[in-house]
Amino acid sequence: MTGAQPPGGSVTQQLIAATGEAWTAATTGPFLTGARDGTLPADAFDRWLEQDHRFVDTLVRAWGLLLQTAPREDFGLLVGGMQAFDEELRWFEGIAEQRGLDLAGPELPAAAAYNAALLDLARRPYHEAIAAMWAVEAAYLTSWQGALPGAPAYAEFVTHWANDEFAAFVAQLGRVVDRELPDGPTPAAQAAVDEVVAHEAAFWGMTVEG
Amino acid sequence: MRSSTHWADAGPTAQDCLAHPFVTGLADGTLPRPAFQHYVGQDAFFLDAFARAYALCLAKAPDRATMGTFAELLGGAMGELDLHRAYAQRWDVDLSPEPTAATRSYTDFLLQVAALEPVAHACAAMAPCMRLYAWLGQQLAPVAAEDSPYIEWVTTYADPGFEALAAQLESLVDTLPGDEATMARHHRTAMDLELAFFASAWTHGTTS
Repeated sequence: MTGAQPPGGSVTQQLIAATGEAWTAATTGPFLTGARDGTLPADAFDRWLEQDHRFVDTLVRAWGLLLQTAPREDFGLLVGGMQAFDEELRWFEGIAEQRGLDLAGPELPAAAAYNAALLDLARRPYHEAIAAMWAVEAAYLTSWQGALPGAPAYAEFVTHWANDEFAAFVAQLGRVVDRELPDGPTPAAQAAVDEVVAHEAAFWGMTVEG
Repeated sequence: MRSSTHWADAGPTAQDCLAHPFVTGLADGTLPRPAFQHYVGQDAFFLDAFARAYALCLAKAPDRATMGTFAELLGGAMGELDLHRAYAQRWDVDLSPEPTAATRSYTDFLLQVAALEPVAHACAAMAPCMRLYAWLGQQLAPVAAEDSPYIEWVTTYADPGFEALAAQLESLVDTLPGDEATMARHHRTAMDLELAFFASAWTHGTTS
C-alpha cells in the first residue's frame, strides 16, 4: 500500500466498489460454495473445467491483442502472464486426461459470450483493456480465495487458483491500472470492468442451478 | 522444406550482411561507437514491434502447439530487450529514439503482415531476423576479436539457445499453411530490410 491514495481508495478499489452487488455475484455463489463444502457435483465441475480451459485459450489470445497497445514497460508483465496462461493450458490438458474431460467440445452460451467479449475488450484503448483484464484476474482470485480451503474433492483445485503467486500477479496488474488511470476510473474503464463482472457471474452459474 | 529454400535463396544477401563494414566492425571491434549506439536504439524500437508481431501471431495461432511456440518466442524477444537495456546503461543509448526510415520500413512491413495475413506469412517475414542473426553470430564467433567491445553481441547470437529459437520459428514456416510465392517474397523483403538496417546504422553512425 502506498501512502498517496485518494480518499476513495486506489483506482482498482474504486472500480470494484462501483460495481456494487455485481462484484459479489461475480465472486460468490452455489458453484464456489459447493467447491468449499463439497456439495458441488463432480459432473458440474467437469463441465465447468472444460469451459474454463476454452476461456484460458481465449485469454492468451486476448493478451496477444493487449500487447499491441501496451507500453514497452509493461511487456515483461504481460508476456509473463501469457506464458503463465500457456502453462495453465498444459495443466488443464493433464487434468483433462485424469478426469476424462472433452476439451474440444462445444462452448456453452455463457462461455461463448464471455470469450467474444474478452477479444473485444482487449482491442479497446489500453487503459480500458488493462482494467478489464485486471478485473478478470481479480474476480477469479477473489472467487477462489472465498472457496478456501476447499472440500477434499476440490482442495487441489482451490489452492491451485488461490495462491500467493497468483495474488502477487493480480496486485501487479492492479498497479498498472492505477498508473493508467491517474485521475480515477473513467466511465469507459468502469464500463469495461462492469462488463467483465457480469460475464464472471454468468460463467460461475453456467453448470449449476442457483 | 520452405525455410531451407528461403534461406538458400537469401544466400547473396546474407553474404552482403556478413561483409558489411558495420558487421565486420562488430567482430573486429573497429565499429565506431556512435554507429553501435545508434544501432542499439533503433534495434530496441525494432524489437518492440517484433514482439508485438509475435503477440499478434499468438492471438491468431491456429492451434495450441503453435500458440505455445509463440509464447516461447516472445520470451526470447523479451530476453533480447533485456540485453538492450543492459547495453543502454553501458553505452549510454537512448532506447526510445525516433525510428529512421530504414527502421520504420521494416517494422511497418512486419506489423502489416502480422495483422492482415495468415500466421505462416508473418513467420516467413520474421524468420530472417532470427536466422540471419543466428548465422552471423555463428560465422563471427570463431573469428571475432576477443577484446572487441562488441563481443557480447557476437556471443549472444552465436549461442545455441538463439539457434533453437530460430529453428522453432522456421518449423512454423515449414508446417503452417500459407501461399508459397507470398512467403518467399516476404522472406526476401525482410532480408533486404535487414541489410538496409545495418547500412542505415553505419551511415548514421559514421557521418553524424
